[in-house]
Amino acid sequence: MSPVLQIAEDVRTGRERAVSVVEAALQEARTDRLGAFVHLQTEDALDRALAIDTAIDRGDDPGPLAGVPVAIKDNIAQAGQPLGCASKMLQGYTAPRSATAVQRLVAAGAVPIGRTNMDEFGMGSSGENSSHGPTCNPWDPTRVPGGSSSGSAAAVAAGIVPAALGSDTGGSVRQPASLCGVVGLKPTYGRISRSGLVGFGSSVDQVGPMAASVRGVAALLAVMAGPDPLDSTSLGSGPEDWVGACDRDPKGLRIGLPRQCWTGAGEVEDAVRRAVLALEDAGAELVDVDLPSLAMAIPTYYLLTSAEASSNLSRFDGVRYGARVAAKEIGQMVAQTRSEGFGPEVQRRILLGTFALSAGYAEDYYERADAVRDQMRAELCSALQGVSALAMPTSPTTAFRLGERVDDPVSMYLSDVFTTPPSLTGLPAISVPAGLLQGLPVGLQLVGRMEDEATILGLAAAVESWRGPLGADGRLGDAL
Amino acid sequence: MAVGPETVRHIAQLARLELPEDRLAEVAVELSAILAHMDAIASFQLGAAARDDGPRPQRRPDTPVDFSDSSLVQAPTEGTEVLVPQVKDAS
Repeated sequence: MSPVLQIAEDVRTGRERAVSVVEAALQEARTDRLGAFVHLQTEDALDRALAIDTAIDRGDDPGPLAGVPVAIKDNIAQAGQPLGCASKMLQGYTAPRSATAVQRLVAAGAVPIGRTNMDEFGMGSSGENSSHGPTCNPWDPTRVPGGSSSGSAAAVAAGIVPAALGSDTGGSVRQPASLCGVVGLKPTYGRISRSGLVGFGSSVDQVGPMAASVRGVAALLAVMAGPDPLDSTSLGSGPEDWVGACDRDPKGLRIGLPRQCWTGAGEVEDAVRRAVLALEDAGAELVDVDLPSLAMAIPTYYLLTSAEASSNLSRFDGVRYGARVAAKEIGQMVAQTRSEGFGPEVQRRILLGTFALSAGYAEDYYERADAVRDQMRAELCSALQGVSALAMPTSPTTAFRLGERVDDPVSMYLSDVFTTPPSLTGLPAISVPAGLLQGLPVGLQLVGRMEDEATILGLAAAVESWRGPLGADGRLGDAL
Repeated sequence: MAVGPETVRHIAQLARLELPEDRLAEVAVELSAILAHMDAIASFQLGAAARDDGPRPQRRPDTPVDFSDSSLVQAPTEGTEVLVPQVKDAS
């Protein structure tokens, strides 16, 4: 059974006390040497755990995730807790209200224990762009955990918490999940409300669950999904039995392999292909598909999201939120606050986005990228009429060394080559560990039809069954 | 597409970022390298699915925010502080 569901069952049936489970997770987090957490909310977590135990003693239903400790990425609001986005710009800022996703998790009995490290405002693929310093990969602390949900992935992989929330704009849940050997899901755009998620690229941002197993991710999705009047882009359809969908048989399903993602070269591709072949052995049919626009994913994604970021982040001006640099004139104050508050990568994206939207260039960059996105969406949706899902590696590499790419933005951006197409098109996508390569995890990405998380959860669970335990003795994070 | 220090200065003003003069050339090189990669979309063959007709988006002029002309200047001040109405029932 998945650790998430096991803990919930143990707490609900009285085999474990929520306070004991949460205290154990907090203890692990206090001794975290990975830099996964930026804040622990000990008192709040223990109060919630006690309330769950009291509810159980009274005979009340404490919710399907009773007593499950979870970690929350530092860009998802929880009332009364710091909301920093790993940025100097929001140092000292406390969230006045909770994100809908967090509200629903808590209502289901989950217990947030702390805020996790991340690339500043979600901009990065290595976890190194943080005002708190980098997060390390539990499988090899000299390597990156991926990003931007670096702390959430590391905390789950190290066994500190069984599940965590991340946010995914261009792969920020799936890529760190792949590099840390955990499961990460980016749901269909609109599946989980964005209310309370600090905006980066609003047309692609999604909250996504991360867990040690596919069923854990499904259980979190089931309580967070659904319409929300606070987010006009949230889908109208309600939650489904996604945990039950994990038992679906892959037999008879057609899985598309985009030629652009399977070049026949590289050890990562070989490792991921074995997982795909296991699905074929289980009765799925593999077919090649051609998706030419995937070659444009990186420029399209970086132009569109940087443009949106330049607008979204204009609200951070020293007046309304967080830090302020004193200056004699308001214009100086705004410019100095933004220059000192934002880190180098965030400033780079703001400049790129402002350029892409500026007079004389908007047509060639922003509008062109928008048109390419339309074509990509049409191509992927058309391909998915003939197949149930697409399969490809989540990341072209395993975890790289800390510092290896920090001075080369384009090289860093290329880490997202396989994760950006589902983001740009709004399709659901999951990363599931496919195995180890030289002691480091590699992930298989499965992309589903719009609003069809069930199929990719079922396929991912089948890969999980085939693969067996990832660590030496079956526990993620024992490589530490 | 290569951009020069003058373009970077203009973009930074639009983005309300303060870049020191001695960093403009360095940032221009960095942005040019990124844009060289982005330029691939110019030669990509768009099909019928790509939206290429319909009304063009309307944009405001590229003018940096002029704070001396902002409404804040009209607000009453005390020293260097802008005065705002008291929140109802606040102590």
